[in-house]
Amino acid sequence: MGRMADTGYVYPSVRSAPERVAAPAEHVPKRVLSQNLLALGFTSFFTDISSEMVLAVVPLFLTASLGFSIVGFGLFEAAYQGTNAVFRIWGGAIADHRQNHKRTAATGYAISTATRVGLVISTFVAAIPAVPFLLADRIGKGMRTAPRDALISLSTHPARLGTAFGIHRSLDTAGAVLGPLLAFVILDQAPGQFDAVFVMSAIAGVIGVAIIVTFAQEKPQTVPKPTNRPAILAQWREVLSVPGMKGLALGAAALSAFTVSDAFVYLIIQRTTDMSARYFPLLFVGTALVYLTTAVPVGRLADRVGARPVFLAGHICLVVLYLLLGFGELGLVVSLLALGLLGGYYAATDGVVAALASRLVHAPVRATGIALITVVIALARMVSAGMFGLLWQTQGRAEALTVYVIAMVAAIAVGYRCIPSDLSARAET
Amino acid sequence: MTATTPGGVSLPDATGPSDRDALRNKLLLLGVAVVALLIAGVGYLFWASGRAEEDLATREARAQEAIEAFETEPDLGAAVVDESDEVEPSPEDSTTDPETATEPLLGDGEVLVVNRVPGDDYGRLAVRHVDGTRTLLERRCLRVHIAADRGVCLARDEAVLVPAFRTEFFDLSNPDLPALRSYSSPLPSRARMSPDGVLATATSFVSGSSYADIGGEAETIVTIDEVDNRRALVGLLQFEVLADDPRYNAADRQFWGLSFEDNDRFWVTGFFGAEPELLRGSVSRRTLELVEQPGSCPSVSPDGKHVVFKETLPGLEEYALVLIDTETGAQRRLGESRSVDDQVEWLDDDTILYALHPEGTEDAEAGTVQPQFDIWMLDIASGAEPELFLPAADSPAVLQP
Repeated sequence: MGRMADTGYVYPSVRSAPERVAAPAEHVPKRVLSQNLLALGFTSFFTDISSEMVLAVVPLFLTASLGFSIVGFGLFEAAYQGTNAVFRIWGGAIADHRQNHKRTAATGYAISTATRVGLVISTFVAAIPAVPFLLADRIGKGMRTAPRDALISLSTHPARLGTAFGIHRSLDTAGAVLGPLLAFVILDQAPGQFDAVFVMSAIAGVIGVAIIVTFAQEKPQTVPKPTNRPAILAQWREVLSVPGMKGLALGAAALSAFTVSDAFVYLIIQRTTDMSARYFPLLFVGTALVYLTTAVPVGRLADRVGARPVFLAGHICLVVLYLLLGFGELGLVVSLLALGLLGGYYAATDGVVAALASRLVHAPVRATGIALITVVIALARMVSAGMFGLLWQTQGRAEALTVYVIAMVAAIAVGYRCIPSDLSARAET
Repeated sequence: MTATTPGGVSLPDATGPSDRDALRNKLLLLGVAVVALLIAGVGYLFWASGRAEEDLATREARAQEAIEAFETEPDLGAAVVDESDEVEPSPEDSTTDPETATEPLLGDGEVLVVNRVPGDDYGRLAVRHVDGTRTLLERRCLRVHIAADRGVCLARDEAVLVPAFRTEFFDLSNPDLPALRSYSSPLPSRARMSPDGVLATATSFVSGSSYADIGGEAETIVTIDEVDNRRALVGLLQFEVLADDPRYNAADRQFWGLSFEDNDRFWVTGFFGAEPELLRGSVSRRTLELVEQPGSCPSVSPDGKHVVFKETLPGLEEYALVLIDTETGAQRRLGESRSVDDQVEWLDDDTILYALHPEGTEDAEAGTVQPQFDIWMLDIASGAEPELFLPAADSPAVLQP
């Protein structure tokens, strides 16, 4: 018996069709919480407190939270997502290649935490600018994401992946809500003393890193490592040849290419209502609260009915959201409804697509596969942000949203055809 | 797995007794570390909070010193009385409670300002009496302007913890300055009323916070309101610039710093990719005309004969004040050598008011929580020198007769 979790769940070794996953699962554990899930969840919780605290007070973000310029926002988003994407792919590939998901993820968390210390120093030493540290934080964030998700999936029974990712995303989002709140409480106590925010941020970051280093465990694969580990390019070929992978990538890309980023949603609500700008910072909090409370039940649903229908339903939320934003009378009630739909969209997509990818991709290249899908989504969203900004500016809000409604309906049809069903991949409950 | 650890209450992966002990030790260690870190963090916060208070106290003392020095200056009263012919010496001193006042809030020669003494009263409106003393009011504004019996106040929204702002219209005929209506707005920058008090305009930054960043990160919006109507009347981006070159009506054009001539005509700054330039517009026709004059933040004199604007000095983020004669188009720089980043206010047809950071603290003040400003006064006659009008104050608003 001993360390059951280390031997883990039996994953088909190579090139398995999803159906084969179901075979060995005679019993599905009721319990989803594993030491790794808890460790990674709380690491994300503290790290999100840490990073959102900083983002909330950095002037760039401060002005941004008051509203981006339409095209300017698209550009910022592009640069931000670009850095993130490059390091996400790299982190996933390295983690699979070396089979050290924990170490790669922990390194990413440590890099981000180290940047907080840099920020503290930069507030005291005028010669040291803050911007490189803010960029380095994006590097750490990109690097850790895929290995962390892979580690969660490797520590969880395939039939409970939706729930597990739901739990992780809940903790993660709770940190993202608490961070800005803490930052503003600190600045209320010590007006203008930004170093106090950075010190507290560093402390939260150190706690996060301490948790992952102390409590998370590497999950060696059950099958012996091939003596000559595949080169990174070979890993990529392997991931792309996984049955259903291209379909998932294509479907996710089509859906994400018409996903309006949340900042645009907030901007539309702000600009079309008289009252809402006052609540502008609360728009984010509202969305996050919906997300963090629904992530677990929606994840369970994905475990029961399959991740594909839930993922598609998340995008149907967006269609309704677009219709509300484009043609609804945006009062308080409709604005709240819009936030609910946006939060629901996140709950039904972010963790769910990670679960879907995890069920598809076999363990040795799991991080690479997760990185691929999440990067495809990020890039498609980047294109979407640029397109939407341009459409909004040249054609108007209702026209832009009309285009996006039609395109999203088409994309949902594409997604339905392309994205493989994972129903057979999860075990019967 | 569940079968092997029935009813296990410890963390799922720790199944053996030694594993459990190890886990307990690790958790204990983590707990101790977290407590120690939090104590350190709270300690740091106290230290930072003390620093913030100390800093504020120092700056408040400095501002009070400047005010005392100013109020005891002998020729001050004369300098102001000059501008408003027959001012009776005000019987009220600076402790007068505005609520008991039965006469209008602003007597002859009195100017509404925003108090900039660091501390709790920072941001409160104040009446600047002719003798240079001030009476603080309850209303708080970042920027204020008044005309007839109305005022526009761009204020911090105190209802939310994070930075948020409101545009408020208030009744100037009531000494309590009650709000007529208000709505949320982005980061406020400039505010103006039309001379008859019917229209109000506000410039806000929807992104960025500095005019130096226009064309880059910063983006501004200008709104024009009919004070008595329920909704914001119009944004300047909906106006058409009467020019052949399509760049003047491109989507990324920007406007800021509007100043009314009357109930319809106004001057404003436009940016179309190169450098800020002045335009004249009509509210009723929703059009703008080019003035063919680079510059920003115009301010029309009460008699409509002059406009003072900011000229951007080449290669610097600095501005010179330039006077333009609206009939002849003749222009010349005014006698202010310091960089003025403000939309000036007219004390009368020949005198302007504007705010500057206290001398020698320009850079330091820009980054502080409660930046300090002094209001300066300058005659538009050539050769005139600026005079201090009121220390530790900002956003002068004059009720024109």
